Amino acid sequence: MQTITRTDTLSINEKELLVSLNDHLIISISDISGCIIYFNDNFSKVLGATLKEVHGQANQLLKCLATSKAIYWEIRKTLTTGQKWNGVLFYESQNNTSFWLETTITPLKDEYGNVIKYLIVSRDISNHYCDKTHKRNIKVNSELKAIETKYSKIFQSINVGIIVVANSKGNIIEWNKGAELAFGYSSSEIIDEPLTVLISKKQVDKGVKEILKVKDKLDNDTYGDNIELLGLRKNGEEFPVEFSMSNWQSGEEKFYCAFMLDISNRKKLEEKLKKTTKDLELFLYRSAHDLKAPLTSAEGLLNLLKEEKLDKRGSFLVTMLDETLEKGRLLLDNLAFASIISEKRRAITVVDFQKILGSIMIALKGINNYQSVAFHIAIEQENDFYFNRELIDSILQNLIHNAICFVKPKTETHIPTIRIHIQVTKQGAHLTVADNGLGINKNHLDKVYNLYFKGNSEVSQGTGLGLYIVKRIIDDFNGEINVTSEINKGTSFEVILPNLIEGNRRND
Amino acid sequence: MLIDDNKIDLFVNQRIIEIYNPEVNIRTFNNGMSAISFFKLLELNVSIKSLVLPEVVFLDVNMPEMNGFNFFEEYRFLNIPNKGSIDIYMLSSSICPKDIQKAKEETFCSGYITKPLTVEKIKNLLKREGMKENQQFRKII
Repeated sequence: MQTITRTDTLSINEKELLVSLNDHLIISISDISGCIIYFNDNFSKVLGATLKEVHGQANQLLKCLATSKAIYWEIRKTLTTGQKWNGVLFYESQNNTSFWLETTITPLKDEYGNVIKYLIVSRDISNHYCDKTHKRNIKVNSELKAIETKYSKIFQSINVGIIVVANSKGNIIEWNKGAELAFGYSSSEIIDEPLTVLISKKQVDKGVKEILKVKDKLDNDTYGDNIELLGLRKNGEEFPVEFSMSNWQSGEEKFYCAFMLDISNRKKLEEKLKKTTKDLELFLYRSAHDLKAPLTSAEGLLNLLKEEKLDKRGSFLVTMLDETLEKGRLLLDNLAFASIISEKRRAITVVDFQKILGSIMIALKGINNYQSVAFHIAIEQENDFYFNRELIDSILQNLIHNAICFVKPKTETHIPTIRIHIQVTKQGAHLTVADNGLGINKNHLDKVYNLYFKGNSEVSQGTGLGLYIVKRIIDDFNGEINVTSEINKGTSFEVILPNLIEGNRRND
Repeated sequence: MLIDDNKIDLFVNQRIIEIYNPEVNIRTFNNGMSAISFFKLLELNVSIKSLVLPEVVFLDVNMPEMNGFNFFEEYRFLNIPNKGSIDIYMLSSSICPKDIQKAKEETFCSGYITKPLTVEKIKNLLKREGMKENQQFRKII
């Protein structure tokens, strides 16, 4: 009976063990610098290389197979301290098969304890690993797919809004139904074309400039403004669009999504409204003028009548007729003036308040109460004030005229006073006309600017157009007007108007 | 000479001039074309005594067919003696700045007067005329 020594058992077991290990594991040994000096058959199967090809080369498993730089450095760090490293590495072979390798790297030391070699033992766990991650991936994928389908469906089916996605070079990479309907290009025709083909040739320079401005704003993480552009259809037609942009980043690449809205209808209505307003203004202007003609004829006749020898009764009637005609004429003049306010914005000049107030005072001399009023006028002017002279004149004249009309009669204790304060800065003018007169009823305060609104009919000499005109002018220039009033104490109007120095002006 | 399509205005203006000075010889036309025809007659028969060259013309602005400004377009090409001595004033009920500007630019227009015409306005007009010989545009409102 053969005795089996311990050594035998061990050597047999060792051999079997080695064979078995060799069959199942991927084993390689590299020197201290990472050059492979040994590997087994499994290794060459995985790497797809023979010993000759790989010999002396840096260990692929170590160098590039680490799934990330971080792992590579982690391995290096572990090994240089003389410790073992355990982990999973990923390797994609030349024929595109990928391997997940559970790997142990053991530093081999000489008798002095210096690391001289590395033993790299890996187990192919691809099947197992893939199964697990695959299942998870499938789940994630299907969820992602659902989300993507949802959004792409939304994206594709939006046909009122035009959505175009472009890359950072400005080339179109996505195109929705709305875009197709609006511009007439199909998806396949337009993808990879530059975004600029969608902009009217007339506006290309301006349009690109504006788009770049929005893009810069987006890149700086601020909101881009909405801009209006003239779009160009495939068939050469132009149409106005409102354009807004958003962006996102995916990896290194930036993407820009342009939302556009066809605003042809809105524009058309806008134009129509503008034209109608203009027509109405012209109509009002012409009417006011044409109505004035018979009025002046009547005035002429009245003048002749005054020359006739009239009795007391007759001349009284003539005077009343005269007043009536005068009122009518004033009304028509104001109406004609109101109709051409918007036209006046073109004629902007330096305004000389001193001069304007002077001529207003002369013009208002004729009205009742004027003589009893004490005027306090203060003008503080740092800068020249640019505005339409006629409009400023109209605002001040109307406000002062009203103030004079609604004074309380002069008594021993009451002196009717009107304070006019004008302050001009670079930004604008602040005009105040304040009186200590009758005041306006609280209930009427919000109605004073209404067309044909008139104050107390006993004292009112106006046409009901004055403050309406004032308000129209102020609104037209984006100014402000405020009124405060107290019955029997007085009324104060404050007006703020922009200084229309070159550059401050709005383009219309 | 008075040119106005409105009979009442024509009547009023005539009366006002008569009040100003009953001696003034007045000729009235109710449209611009007939006034132009009158000037054309003058052009041909300069010698006829009854056809006297007017000194002052009051021309209404708003008239049908030929308005005040159209009148000048025809008048410009007339070849009448002493054309420069005829003062043509536009008469209008409007104080439209555009019209006034247009009148100012018209070579043969001497001034712009708002209706109604009054004795004072005529006095004013002729007084100034005596003062200044150089042809200047006058605006009387």
